[in-house]
Parts: sequence; structure tokens; C-alpha cells
Amino acid sequence: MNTNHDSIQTMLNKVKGQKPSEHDDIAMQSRLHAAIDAQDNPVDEEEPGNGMIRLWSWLKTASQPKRFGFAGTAAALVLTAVLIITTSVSKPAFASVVKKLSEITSMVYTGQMQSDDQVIMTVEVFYQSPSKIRVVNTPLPDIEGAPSVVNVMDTKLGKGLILFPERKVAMPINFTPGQNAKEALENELLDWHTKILNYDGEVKSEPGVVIDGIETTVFTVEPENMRLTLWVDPKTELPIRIRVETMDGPYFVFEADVAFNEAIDPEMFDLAPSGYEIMGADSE
Amino acid sequence: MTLQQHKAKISDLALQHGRLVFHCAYRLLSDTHLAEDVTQDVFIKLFKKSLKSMNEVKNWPAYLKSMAVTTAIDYLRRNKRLAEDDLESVPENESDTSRHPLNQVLRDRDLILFKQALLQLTEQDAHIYCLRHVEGYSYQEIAELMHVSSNSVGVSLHRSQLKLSSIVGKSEYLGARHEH
Repeated sequence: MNTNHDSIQTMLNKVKGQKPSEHDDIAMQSRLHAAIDAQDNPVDEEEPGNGMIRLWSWLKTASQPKRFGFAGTAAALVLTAVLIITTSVSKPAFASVVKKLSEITSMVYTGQMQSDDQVIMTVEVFYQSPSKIRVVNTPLPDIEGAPSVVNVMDTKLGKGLILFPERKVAMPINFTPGQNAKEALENELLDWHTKILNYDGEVKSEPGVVIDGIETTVFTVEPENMRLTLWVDPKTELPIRIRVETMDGPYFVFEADVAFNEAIDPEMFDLAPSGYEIMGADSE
Repeated sequence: MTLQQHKAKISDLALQHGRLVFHCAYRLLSDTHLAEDVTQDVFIKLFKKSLKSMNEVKNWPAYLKSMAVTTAIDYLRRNKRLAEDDLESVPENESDTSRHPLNQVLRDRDLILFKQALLQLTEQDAHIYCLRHVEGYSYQEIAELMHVSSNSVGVSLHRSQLKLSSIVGKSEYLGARHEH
């Protein structure tokens, strides 16, 4: 009987140890509110007699952008990190670009995320040196079930918010090691971040590539499973276009024009934005 | 209470406790999609509650968790496939078995065995067992949530424990478990 008791306890520990990801929490919360909102709305023709929005019908259209939406955020954050902190470089010309990047006060870029040749969303990134980042994911209008999501972070404070502008709701996130948000966001970020920091591979360059009338030098680095391409203006030694793409796993590519050292409204990085209700924490 | 007020109240509850309900359902179902369905069901069911009964709820987290447990068990009963899945099935978010494949298989066996065991209890016994041993509520709290006596909770838990011991014992005899 004792053996059985131990076995039951082991089983229960495994049951209790299960937890969905922070990413799943976010998607769940958004759809839960949509389901509640739909209670006095006209009933879906596919669901006669039931005003509730069924998850499965959402998933048909929402799962892909949901997944890549998160990848998009991660990619944008990684790209920001790359541009800010890359230090291990083997080509002098690229080292000069990195030095210039380390001196920037701000960075803004807007680009499109593609998966399998399909544009799935717009990603906007605002970076204010040294530690403030805002990433806005806006799914394309024809992709249902994937609301806009804004991530605001202060990496120095280790705090951030995930904002749902349509609902005026904000979910606090914490970057303290061991917290759930770390699993959801930082792991991907820091995993790639670390790979980039340790990058000591080849830097490929190609001069004379004309972009918007500017003769740029193209630099390409490939830290493990991603390829980063920068089109650099030789006069400023800063990129005017950037591109990041995965080289294995779910394929996505992100390309954007980028601007540096422009003034950004401080409210964009506000961790207590007015008009937003802060979502309750999981009190377990 | 108008529909709008009712909705505002439920929306607020969803904001405060949605994750709690979602996590509770996920522990029993090991599936984010189904756990999300359960979470929606729980909050949509609140629209059928009267203002009077809404105001009588003293502990919303416990009340909603109890609803999540009973709804999740109902899902398990209606989707027996979840509990009868073969052991090649892997819960979501755990698909990367390459790191610890043996641990993953053992973990999955335990989760499936747990679901199978729950289905062999009565609905009320399964509900009480989960509230006590998965969600950690006291006899008194469960008694209040279930509108039964503490003694009845104790009897139910004893009955479930015997049943589970028997199920786990048979499972080990049949070789479904391994040394950990």
C-alpha cells in the first residue's frame, strides 16, 4: 500500500507541475474576453442557439498568426539586441558599424514579418538607449483572431507590460529569473542573444549594393540558426535596412528600414499607461 | 442587474481570475485548447447565475476553480479519448522529447493514468479528490464549496484513495509503470 501511496503522490506531483506558457495565457485571456463580449451579440450562424465563440473555430485562423506573432516579437527583440550589443566581430569594417551602433541614442524600425512567403504582420520597434523597448505586433486585417499586442519593456528594471490596446488591458511581466515571464519571453530572447554574443564566425560583406539611391555595404552574419543582414550607409556607418531570417525550424523572415537617433515620445515606454487596467496575476 | 452590468462583472472576474481557471483546467486536461474551452465555459456559465447568487459567492477564486474542476472532469468524460490516449501521445508544449525522452514518457504515463483513474471515480468523488489533492483545498473549504459536510468530504476522499490505490496497483502489475 505504501508503494501505491508513493506512486499516487508521484502522479499527483506531475499533474500539479503542469502549467501553460505565458504565451498561452495571453492568447487565452484575449479570446476569453472576446467570448464574454459576444454574449449579447448576434449568434454565429455556425453555432445556432449558442452565443459563445467556440475556440476551435478561432483556432483554425488564429493559431498560425498566434504562433508567428510571438516569434515576430522575439525576432524583433533579438534583432534589437543584436544591433545594440554585438561585440564579437572579425571584420574591421563591421566592427566599425558595431561601434557606431553602440553609440546610438534611439532606434526605430517598422517592417513586415513573412512566413512561407506570406506576409502575416507588421512589427514596429522603438528602442530608447539604454534599456527601453517597445514592440508593436499588428496582424494583417485579413487574419482573424490575432489582436494587436504591444510589448513595453525596461530591461534595466527587469519589468514590462504586454498591452492589449483594443481592450485597454495590460498584463505585467517580470524578467526576474525564475518568473514565468522569463520562460515565455526571455528564454527565446536570451538564447539567441547569447548565441549572438558568442558569435565568432565569419562576417560576409558585399559593397556597392544600391538601396534607395544610397550605395550600401551589405554585411551578413549567421549565428547558428539565424541570418542577419545589414545594409550599411558608408557615410554614417549605420544600417538603413535590416533583415533577420531563421535558417531552420519554423521559417520566418523580417525586413525593415531603420532610423537612428530620432526623438521618441517617452510615453511610448510608460510602464503605467493611463487608461489601461492591469490584469491580475495568477495567485497560485 | 442589466446584461451590461452582468457582463461587466463577469469581465472583471475573467480579468482577475481567468489565468487561475485556465491553469486549473490545464492541470487536469494537459491540453491548452481544451483548457481554454473549459475556461470560456466557466465564465459563460456565470451569465446564467442570478444577481443574488453572484452576491453570495464569498471566495471567487475557490468558486471558479471548483467550476473549472467539475467542467474539466465533464470534458474528460465526454472526451474519453483524452484519458484513453495511447502513450505515444504527448501533451502540448512538451513536444520536445529529445532532451529527456525517458522522463517524458514516464511523465505522460502518469498523466494518462491519472485521467483514467479519475474516470473510474464518481463525478462528485473525482471533483472532491481534485480539489483536495490537486488544488490543495482543506476539508472545510471543500465542504463549503460542495455544500456537503466535512465528514462527507472525508468519506469521499477515503473511497477515492482506495480506488486509486487499486488502479495504480493494477497498472504497476500490468507493467504500465517503471522504476523512477
